[in-house]
Amino acid sequence: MSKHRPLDDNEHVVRQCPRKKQARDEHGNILGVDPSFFELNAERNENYLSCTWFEFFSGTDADRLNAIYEHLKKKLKGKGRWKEAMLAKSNVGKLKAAAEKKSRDLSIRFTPSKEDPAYSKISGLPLDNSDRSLLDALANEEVATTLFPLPETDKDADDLTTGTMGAA
Amino acid sequence: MFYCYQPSEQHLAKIPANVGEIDHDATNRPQNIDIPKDITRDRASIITLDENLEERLFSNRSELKVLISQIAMHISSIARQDLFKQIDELLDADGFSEGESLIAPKSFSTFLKFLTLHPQMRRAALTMTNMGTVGGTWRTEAGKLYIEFLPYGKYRTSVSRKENDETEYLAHEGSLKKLHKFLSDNNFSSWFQRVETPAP
Repeated sequence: MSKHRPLDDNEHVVRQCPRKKQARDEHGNILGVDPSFFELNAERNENYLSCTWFEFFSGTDADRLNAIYEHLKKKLKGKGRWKEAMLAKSNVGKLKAAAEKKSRDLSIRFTPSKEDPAYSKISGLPLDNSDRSLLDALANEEVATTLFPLPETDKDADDLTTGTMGAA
Repeated sequence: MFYCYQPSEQHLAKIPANVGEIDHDATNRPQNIDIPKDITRDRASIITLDENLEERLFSNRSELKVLISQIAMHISSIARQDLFKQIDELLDADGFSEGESLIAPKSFSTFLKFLTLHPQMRRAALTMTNMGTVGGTWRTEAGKLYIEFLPYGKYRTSVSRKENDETEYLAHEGSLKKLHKFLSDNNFSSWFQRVETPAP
């Protein structure tokens, strides 16, 4: 088992982005991500965001996204809701730089467990979600976060509707 | 192609006189607003897997569509149908997980009030927050405007604006009356308003 460690600035983390966090134009093109995508969930007493370490998986970027999708489906054991969801890939260095501009020190660490060997977490976000411009910056594809459509697989062909990649 | 929520003059005349009243003493300084109490979650607004998910989502969708129908005279039928479609997408059972909120009707009411105040508004790309409030996004070449609509006519907004190679972020919050002034003073109104094309 790998030891816990901070992720390097050139590495990435991935999270599922549900449809309700995706701002789409009338043609389905992505206009942006709702800043609350980086909110901590007070109802769940969250003080960090759970992520998957992108570089844990090998291969091309597409291979890695495919592997992460399969990994998350298996991890969520059917509880995940994937219709029109996308995968949000964030660069570690850019997330931290955007937070530093707002005088906030983010910690993004690889923290694997037996159940999830690719597990990582983002800590240091405002617990009260009060800094909307920080959350907006973190979710902005021009700053740190890019959306990718879910890989299409035969198994999920009826379940998935892929969106438009990247910005409109 | 964009369309706007363009009502007729007859419909505009039906908007109450005090709607859209501008507070001329408002400043652009960020306000520390009290978050209305019904944003804080209550059990009634949170999905749990042991509940009838479809039934609760149907009820929430219906409630919001009734609110839309109440301002139907102020918007075009195309805009109304688009709002219905966006509500259906946001509240699709296949996109919901345990512990997530439904849309707070009072938040959606604030969005609808904003819509009636800005008849030239381009289509808002709607999203929802973990708290069940509704957000609207407008994007232009100059940047992106995001407004989170809170209950009781309150809002929070964040703007990302491109300046040379840098992206500048602004945040503001308050009541809708102050939002109008904030958007006007910073020339953001044009970001979400339809550009009138001169008649040939």
